[in-house]
This record gives sequence, structure tokens and C-alpha cells, in this order.
Amino acid sequence: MMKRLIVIASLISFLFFSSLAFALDLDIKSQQLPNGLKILTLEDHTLPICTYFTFFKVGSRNEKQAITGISHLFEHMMFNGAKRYGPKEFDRILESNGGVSNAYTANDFTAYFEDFPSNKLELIIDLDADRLENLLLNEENLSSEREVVKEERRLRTDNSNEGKLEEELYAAAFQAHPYHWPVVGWMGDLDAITREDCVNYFKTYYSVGNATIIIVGDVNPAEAFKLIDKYYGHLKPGPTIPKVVNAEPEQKGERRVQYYKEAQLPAFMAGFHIPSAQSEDIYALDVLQIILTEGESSRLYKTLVYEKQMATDVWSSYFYTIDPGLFYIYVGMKPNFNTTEAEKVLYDEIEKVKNLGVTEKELQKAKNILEANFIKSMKTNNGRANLIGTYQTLFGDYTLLNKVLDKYKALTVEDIKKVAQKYFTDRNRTVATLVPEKAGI
Amino acid sequence: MKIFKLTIIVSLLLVVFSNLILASEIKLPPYQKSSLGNDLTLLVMENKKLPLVNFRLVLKAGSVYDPLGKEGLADLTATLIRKGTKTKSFEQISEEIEFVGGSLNSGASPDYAFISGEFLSKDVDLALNLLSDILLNSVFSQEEFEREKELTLAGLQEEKDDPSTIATKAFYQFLFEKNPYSHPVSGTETSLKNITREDVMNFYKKYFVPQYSILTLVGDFSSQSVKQKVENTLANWQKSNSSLDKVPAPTKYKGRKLLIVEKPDVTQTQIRIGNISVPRNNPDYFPVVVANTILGGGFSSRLVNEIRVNQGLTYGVSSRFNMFKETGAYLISTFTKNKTTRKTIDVALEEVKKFREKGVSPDELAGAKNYLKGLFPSRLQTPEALASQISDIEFYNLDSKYVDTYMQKIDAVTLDDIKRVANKYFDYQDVVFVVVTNPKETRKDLEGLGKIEMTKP
Repeated sequence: MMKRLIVIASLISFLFFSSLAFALDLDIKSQQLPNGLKILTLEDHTLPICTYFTFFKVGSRNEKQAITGISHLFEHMMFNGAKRYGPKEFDRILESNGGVSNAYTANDFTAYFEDFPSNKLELIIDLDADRLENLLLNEENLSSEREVVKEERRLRTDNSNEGKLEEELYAAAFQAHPYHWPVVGWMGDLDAITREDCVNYFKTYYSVGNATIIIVGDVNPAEAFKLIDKYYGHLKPGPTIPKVVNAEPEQKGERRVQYYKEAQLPAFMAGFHIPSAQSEDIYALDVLQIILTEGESSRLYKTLVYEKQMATDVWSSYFYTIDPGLFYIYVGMKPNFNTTEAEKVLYDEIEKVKNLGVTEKELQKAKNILEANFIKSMKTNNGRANLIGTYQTLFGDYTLLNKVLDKYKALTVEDIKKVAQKYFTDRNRTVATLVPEKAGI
Repeated sequence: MKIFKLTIIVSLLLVVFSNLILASEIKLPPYQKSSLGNDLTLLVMENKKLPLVNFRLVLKAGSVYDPLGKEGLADLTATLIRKGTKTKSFEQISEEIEFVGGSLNSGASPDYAFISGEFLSKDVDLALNLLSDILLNSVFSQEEFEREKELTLAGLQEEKDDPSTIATKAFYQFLFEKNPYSHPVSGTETSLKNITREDVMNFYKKYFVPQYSILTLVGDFSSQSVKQKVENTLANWQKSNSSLDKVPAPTKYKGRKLLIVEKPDVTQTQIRIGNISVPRNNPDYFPVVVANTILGGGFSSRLVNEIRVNQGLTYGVSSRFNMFKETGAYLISTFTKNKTTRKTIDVALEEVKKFREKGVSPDELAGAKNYLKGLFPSRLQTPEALASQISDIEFYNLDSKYVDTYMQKIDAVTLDDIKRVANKYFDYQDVVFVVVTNPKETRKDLEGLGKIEMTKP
């Protein structure tokens, strides 16, 4: 029921390291309104239900200092009423018609969805078009929603070891690029964002020209297109989106941050800058992620958790981004072990990959896992729509989904070694450590 | 009079038709139920949408069967079962599963232990051979036992940093007191230290038996051949002679009490409010589900509307009924900044009071019904959801037509039903409270709610 949530990296990365052959079977229809609105549909008549996604290509990446978190705050505001459907109507109407909605904000985009009985398609289109055209932005609903978002920040960041550590890691790893600040925004900025900021933001980024609609399920593409034209056709394309400057300098030396917090056990995250989703290296990095941390037979689980019994948990976060992003590994320590020892083990393991590479069997396993994950991500209408929307928004081309399989197939053990050597270097590393202030109670 | 009757018939027909439109389309796909010579119940459903096979073995070996002082034994046993057999080490097992992109999990819940997995359908033999091997040939080596116990202990320590987990866990212990449903599934630091490898072996022998177990398979296969494969791999699983103790059903808590879990560093207080309630198989299931949807189920529920939308006190609030085999819990969960803890509790209680006293409007009732009916089909999309559904029907002795009649049963709930169940199950005077908080900031405000007990995570 945690709705309007900030995307958690692992969720996205699941989608991403799950991109194989099955796409070949996806018969996606693509259409576009003259005003620029893109519509992608995929039919599946197994059940009388649909998922309707709207992706806007705007996220924390498009923010500036002093309004950090506005993308996510805005995601909340989109549920607070418009013209045809006033305050509190969106959820009431939707749910009393058998639908559910949710949304999430990422670094590069914001996505909204509804799952609903397929005979309610027109209502859904009406609801979504109304809030895009006529959103209500007043002091009253802004001040209430601001408090809700602050509670979300307290929940996921301020009172969460992992949430806080991730915030510290990104803030240190990125100096000039907007990935420096958290998607949820700094607490001080959440208090400072004004109604005027919201209005400007809405005018700039929430337009048909900056959006893609994806419908998956029991849908007739031609009918859906007609309905979307009826409700969205008269809307203007919107202004040109301001260019995001990537002034991030190359990292030339390890950065280390400590965060002192009342906590039971120490933990750390070690992050490495990686290229943008436009790079061909992303596929080898997908494989590397699986070999390092996916499952109990992965290299890092085996050494850190199983053999040396130093850690309770090890996992990694890696997702595709428009600008160069971050690949990080999390290690949570067991009692009586310190992070220095675990860091050494981690770096030794990384060196092994860089020097000796991975085995053919490991590569094959990773490819098998990627393929199975891909099939599993197709289980629900929602999963498929989210995947299609993400590809369209990040790459500008959903058909890439059909090619990912071949990209993975073509990878050799040499490719994996090469990306490890290229990105997993000491100088490119940022380490954030959670230092417990008090011993276990 | 005639016209009157006709009208009734017409509107009845309309109801029937609108149901048919939906209900006919959410008919549970056919499945076969059989039992092996060892009395293992087997449920098999073909599902060819994706090349996957999903299985779920449910054993009457949940944490309610943990011996006193050894809470966590059921979960530890279920976890250890996949950590090495007579012929394969844990590393070999996990390599075998993961090499083909499969998954295999095991663990416990209050009512049952489970082993579940998902594989590509081409790997169904491998999956069933693995299942049979870990089920029949697990060795529970001393080494794996120690390793897993240490890991669980460290996990319990880590959990103390997660206010939400602390709150929910404390709630069940505080509410169910000495009843077995109070057992924390993964145990406590004290109880785990009491558990020996011998305890695990004994628990396994007593409870991991076919006659109380249900194996469900859903996927892209032929039922006949899969049934044969199960027969081939699990026929040797030996029945036991022992019978299981009946788990006592607890009675509702009378009055009010409040547990403060002291966590001085938190800036936000986790709140749980509730009481003991109905088991899964109860005649009021549908009215309770509909009523709860209105109070705290969906995103347009009354609790969300008042606490989140109107007052901006929280990011999330819900009410729910967690229904087990012998009992259940009614539970309101939320969180708010420390300063507004008491206010949030008061608003929540006030909403429940209003809900009981004033009932709901016909519109609200109709909306909640549509919401539940609309959601239902999407809950049957995946092989694992179908497996859980048919496994639950068997485990909780539900109506075999549960899925096919769901829409009608929801539709049949009346305003009177809501009023009746609201007053019967949605308590606000007799409730227990758990808060995870910094008492320096909240203790004073919490006075008067009920008898206060203090504890630490």
C-alpha cells in the first residue's frame, strides 16, 4: 500500500537485468498523436484486465539545487485533483471502478500506472488526461502533501540504515551532476519548495510531448488510440525541455565518507562510476552483477557470507541511467567483524575478476539467469508495461527490448573481464561506511 | 404487484448478467487433486502462458509448533532443509538451481512451513529431483546448522534497526501473549541459543511428513506426466504415526494496554493497533473483507483519507485482517513524526468509532465491492498466485468454488452485514497498542491510552 513511492534501485535493476529473448514475441503497436504523445500497446486477452502506464521523461536529474525532491513531490501532487475530477476524486473514482493506481519517481523519469478491468479504459484515459491538462496546485494541498512526503523521507531515508547510506554514497560519488542529490530530496528543500516552483515545473515537464503511454492487457489498439486522441488530442506539445548539463568531472581518486548513526552493526557501500545506458558496456555489466551478487552461488555471497561468514548480506545496485551512473555493492557485517576486513575481501574478489576473468560456466549461468528473469518479468501486464515504458523513455526506442538477447548472447568471458578492468578501479571508487554509535543493546 | 415482481426479476437478471460477464471470465482454471500412497495431497494445474513451472509444498510445520523456549525452530528447520543432502553439498545445490535460472526457497510462517520454487518448464525434472532430494535426504550437518544459526542471530540483531519490523513483531508477541501464534517466526536471540541440531532433526521427523502436506504444481506441462514424476520422486517419503497437537484459539483481549518499544534515535514513531480476530475459514469472511476495504483497505479508504490526505500525518496507513488457520489479527498500521504520535492514534480510533456507530453509505459499499471485484482477476495472473490460491483452498478448507463464486459472494454483502461485522470485529475500545518511539518525545502524550509497558528492541 506504499503508494507513490520512490523507486528503489533494486526494483529497477531487476527489470533491467531481465532483458532477454522473450521480447521477440512481444507484438507491440506504436502510434503517435500529432502533438507528439507516444502510445504503445500490447494485447493479451487472457484476463479482462489492463495496465495503463504514463511515463514522463523527468526525474531528479532535471532538478536544481533548492528544489531537490520536486519531481517526487510532484508525483504525489498528481493525485490531488484536477478539473473534471476534483480533490480526492481520483482514487475514489478509480477504486470504486475496480482499479488501483500507483506511481514512482526515478532519477531520469516518473511513471504512473493504473491496473483496472478492461471495460473501464475510457474512464482511465479521462482521469489521466484531466490531471495532465488541469492539475490543481494550491497552497492547501501542497502544504499537506509536503508533510506526507517528509514522512516518506523519514521512513525510507532518515530512519533506515541502507537508505541513509545510499544517500551519503551518491552525494560523495557525484559532485556536479544532479545524481548528487536523492530522488526524495533534501529535507530543507522539501520545506522550501513553493507553489510557484511547482507551477513552473508542471508547465515545463508535464506535457504530451514529454510523455509515453503504454497499455498492456485486454485492449484493442485501434480503439485505445481513438480514445486517447479524444482526450489528449487537443493538448499542446509543450515547451522544449531544458538540457541537463553533465559537468561531472572524472573521478581521480578514492572518496570515503563515514556516517555515524545509532545502529546495531556496521555496513558499507562501495560504488563505481559506470557509463550511461547508451554505452554498449551495460550488457557486460549486467552479467558481472549477476556473477558477483545474484543468488547464493554468486562469488561475493559465497566468500563473504558463506565461507568467511563475515557478512549477513551482500547485494548490489545497478540500473541504466541517461547520464553515467553508479554501480554499488552493499555489505552488511556480522557481529565481531569490521568493514575494513570485508572491504579487503571484496576488493580481492574484484581483482580476481580483473586479473583472471570469469569462467565459461559462470558466464553461461548469468545468461541463463538473465533469460529466466526476463520471462518472469513478463508474468503480469504491469511488469510488461513497465519494462516497455522504461526502454522507450531511457533509450527512446522500445524495440531495443527485442535485441537485448543478442547482446547478451554475443558476450564473451573477455568482455566481462574488460568492463571489470575499466570501471572497477580504486580511483573510481567511493565508499560510504555506516559507523554504529552505540554497541548492541 | 405483477409489475413489481417483474422489476425485481429484471434487476436480478441484471445483477446476474453483470456477474456473469466478470465471473465467467475469472473461473479458476481446472486442476486435478489426488493423493499419493503416502497420503501426500497433490494439486496440479496446467498453465501454458509462459514456459515456467511453479511448485509449492506446504507442510503443517509452522512456528505455532515451535516448542516453548525454542521459538524459531520451524523456520530454522525449513531453511536448513536445502543446505545439504546425503549426496549434495549446499554449494552444489545452489549452483544447480541457479545455473538454470531457477529459484528455490524455504521457510516458515505461523501455520505452515513451505518449500517453493520456480523453474523454466524444461527443467521440471531437475526441480522435482531437487525437491525430493532435500525433502528426503537432508542431513542437517552440524556445520550448516551452526552457520545458519549464526546468520539468523545476526539477522535478528540487524532487525533492531528497522522500526517497522520491530513494531509488527512486537505487536504479535504483545497481542497473542502465551498463545503459539505469538511465536516470532525467526525466533528470538534467547530462543535460538536454546536450539540444538537434535531439536532440528526431531522437528523434521515429526512434522515434515506427507500426510499433512500439500504439493501444488502450476505450469507449462502435461498434468499426467507431472503427476507421474511426482509419484516417482516422492512415493518413498514415509508417513509417520504421530498426530499433531491442536493449536488453541486465543480469545480477544479485553481492555487496553500499550507497549512502548524504546528506540531513542527515531524521528518517526511506528504505530500498531489491534486485537485478536477471526481465522481464515470463517463465515463472515466476505463482509469483513468488504468492511475492511472501506475502513483501511484501498487508497480511498477512510483511514487514508483522514490521516494522510486530510491531515498529512503519515505516508501510509492501513487496516487489515491477517487470518490464520485457528485465529487471526485485526491490525491498524501507520507511522508519523514523533510529535504527532498521539494525535495520529486518536484520529485512527475516532475513525473506527465512527465506522462502528454510523456505518457506511450505499455508495461506499458499492465502491468497495467494485474495487475488490476489479482487483480479483489481476491477483490470478501469475503461476505462483494460482499455486497459492489452490493451495490455500486446500490448506484452509475453503469452499472449492471459492474463486468461481468470489464475485457473487462480494456482491451479496449488505449494509446490514457491514454494520454487524463492524461492531463485532472492528474494535477501538478493546485494543492493544504498540509504538516504536523515542519515549522522551512521546511518553507523556501516550498517557491514558492504557496500561503502559516498556521494552527495548
